[in-house]
Amino acid sequence: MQALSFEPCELGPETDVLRARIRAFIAEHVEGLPPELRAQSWSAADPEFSAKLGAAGFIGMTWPRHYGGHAMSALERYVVLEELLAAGAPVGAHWIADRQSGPLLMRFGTRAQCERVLPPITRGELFCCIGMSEPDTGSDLAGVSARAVRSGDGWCVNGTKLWTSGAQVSHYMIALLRTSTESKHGGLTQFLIDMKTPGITVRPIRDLSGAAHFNEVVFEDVWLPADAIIGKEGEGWNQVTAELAYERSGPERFLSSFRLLVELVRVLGQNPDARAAVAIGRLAAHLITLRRMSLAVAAKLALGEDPALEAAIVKDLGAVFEQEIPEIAAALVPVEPSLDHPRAFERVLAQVIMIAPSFSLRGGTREILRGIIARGLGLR
Amino acid sequence: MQDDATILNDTLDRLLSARVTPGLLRAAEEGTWPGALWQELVGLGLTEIFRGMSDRPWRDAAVVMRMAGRHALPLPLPETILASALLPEEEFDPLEPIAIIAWEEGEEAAWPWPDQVRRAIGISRDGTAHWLAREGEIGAPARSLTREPRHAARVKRGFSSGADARLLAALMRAAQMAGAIERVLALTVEHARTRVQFGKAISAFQAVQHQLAVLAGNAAAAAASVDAAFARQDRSEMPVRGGMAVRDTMAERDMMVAKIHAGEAAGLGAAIAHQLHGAIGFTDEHTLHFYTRRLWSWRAQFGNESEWARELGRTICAAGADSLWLAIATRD
Ligand SMILES: Cc1cc2nc3c(=O)[nH]c(=O)nc-3n(C[C@H](O)[C@H](O)[C@H](O)COP(=O)(O)OP(=O)(O)OC[C@H]3O[C@@H](n4cnc5c(N)ncnc54)[C@H](O)[C@@H]3O)c2cc1C
Repeated sequence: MQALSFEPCELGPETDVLRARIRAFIAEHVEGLPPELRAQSWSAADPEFSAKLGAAGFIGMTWPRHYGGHAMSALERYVVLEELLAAGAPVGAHWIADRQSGPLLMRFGTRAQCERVLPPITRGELFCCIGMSEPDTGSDLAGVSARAVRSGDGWCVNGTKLWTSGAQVSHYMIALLRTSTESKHGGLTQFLIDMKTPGITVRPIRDLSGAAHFNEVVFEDVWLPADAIIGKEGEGWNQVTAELAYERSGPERFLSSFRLLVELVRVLGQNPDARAAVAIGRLAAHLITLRRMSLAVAAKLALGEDPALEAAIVKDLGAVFEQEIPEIAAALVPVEPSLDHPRAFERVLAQVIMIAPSFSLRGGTREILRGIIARGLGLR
Repeated sequence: MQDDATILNDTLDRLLSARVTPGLLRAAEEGTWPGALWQELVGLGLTEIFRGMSDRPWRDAAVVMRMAGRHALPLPLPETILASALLPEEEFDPLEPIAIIAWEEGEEAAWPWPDQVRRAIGISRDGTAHWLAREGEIGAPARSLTREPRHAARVKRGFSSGADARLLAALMRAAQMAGAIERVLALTVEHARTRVQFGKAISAFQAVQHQLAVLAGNAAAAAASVDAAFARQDRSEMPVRGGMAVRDTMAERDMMVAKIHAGEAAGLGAAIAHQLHGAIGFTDEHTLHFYTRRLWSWRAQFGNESEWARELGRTICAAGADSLWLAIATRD
């Protein structure tokens, strides 16, 4: 049984200045947005917003200065992220590039790739999407079948990626492709694909809320230069799994329905009945603890440790929490959710009820996460 | 965890593994005071943590309280340590076991180990701490699910403090619960890996794995919230000795959070552990109940989850929706 640890982690006093800066930015650029848009938080892509955020120095915060970054600590970055998410800022356009594509390229990519892609990411002008899932490949990710075959001095790609969030606004995809059929896990390679390359078709897919954040991306004889490879041929699986701790433990894994909690507190008023007070106190307690656990994982990542098990726990508990909020809100306030209601609560409730099912799917399903935790416990 | 806390943790774990056997637990539950063990623990200086023995006394107290929970230690060691933090210097004798009990003015007390424990801190619902001495004959048994020998008793009240000692007692129980939940998780993992049905260990079944993953996640959340609340006590400028004159609202918030999480994890964890143990875990012979009975009892003491959640919820709602995030996003 692997030892689990979530060491209490304090943010330094220097983060107060930064927090004040991002709060001022939010007051100017987020607080006037409609509540139902803010309820979508990191699903909503707004390239103009991302450009403003980049110009203010809030993207690529931990990256080195020569790549346009701001050489800050992981915990300083955390402060900015949590403030943006709590406010429901429309961070979706640059979110993936900032969270995982940039760090992945710095770890496994070439200097030339980093120089090309990272500086515009930090300016909020270049966005990335993740091409992992396919029509027949979901949880069993190693089953990827979209193929890259050597062709001339480059590669030729055919196949389909599915559920690719933000592909329609992205400039690059980081795709996991099959380069060999001889080994399931060892035959995978990551590529940095310019979305303007001929042969790529992006079809937005409407989700049940009516929005189209994710896409089908079809590759037909798409030619990639040799330097599109990220890291080493055949190392795709290991590189992808290294990405996952970043993907799973951030504040977006428990703040997705925070705007609804805010609106719930607003409608309950300053003197709620006992039942409502119990529910709010309990949710607040869970939120405080999830944040602590997530900060503890961020601190470990910053030290170069690999807290994959802890990250899976944060995401699993976080999704339960995020999905409980609409349940509890609906139980305490007996109104019909409606996107057109004059009051913000009904609109935010409607929005969150509809997107909540995705919280325990995206980024690894609940069942897959629990399997990872069980492995950490030595059960499999 | 710092090095000296790790050493304390490991030393105590080894010692209590050796001493707190099922035999000792059963004897204690039938009324035999484990006096030799008390002497040994006092001899280690554990009741002097708050008397200059440690530079981070709350962290060390947390280690001892968690270990006491982990081993279902049938002695009022966590209580005596907390009492040493609350009582004026001159009232405290490190050799003397002190109980911490719920008590209301004018009522009889449910007094643990009445032959060995002569003084206690009685905590009333409004949070006041009263310094009590037991008087007269021992009354009828008033055992809790822990089966700690407890009897109705008349008391003589000494001084009272206006302090909110109830939250500190709740935090103590939260730490004990975090320890007991860790133990329940370890026992259940072990059982799942060794019990064979349908030709394989039951840990091979995904339904079993996922139940344990839920238990592990909740155990981790309980431990994290308890550690954070104790860490904040060490940083807090507010003295608790002789009563918390000035309230530290952040410390209070974290103590409530710890009791809420530990209590929830206690209920859920005990249920999962018993489910996965099957009938053997339901027997008196098996050791699982030493921990789960304590979890059920501690969960209810000094304010259960809904009581503290109501308190926390009221504070949050009173501050208003636009202050919610400010109450969450603190630096520590
Ligand atoms: C909003 C949203 C955005 C997304 N964005 C992206 C993106 O940008 N890029 C990308 O690549 N993908 C993206 N995805 C896809 C996401 O990663 C997959 O949905 C996820 O990996 C699950 O795959 P699946 O949907 O095919 O479900 P399946 O794998 O088919 O699973 C269906 C059900 O079976 C269960 N199941 C599967 N295997 C097991 C098992 N071994 N044991 C127990 N239960 C099992 C699952 O837990 C689930 O409950 C997105 C998904 C959503 C909902």
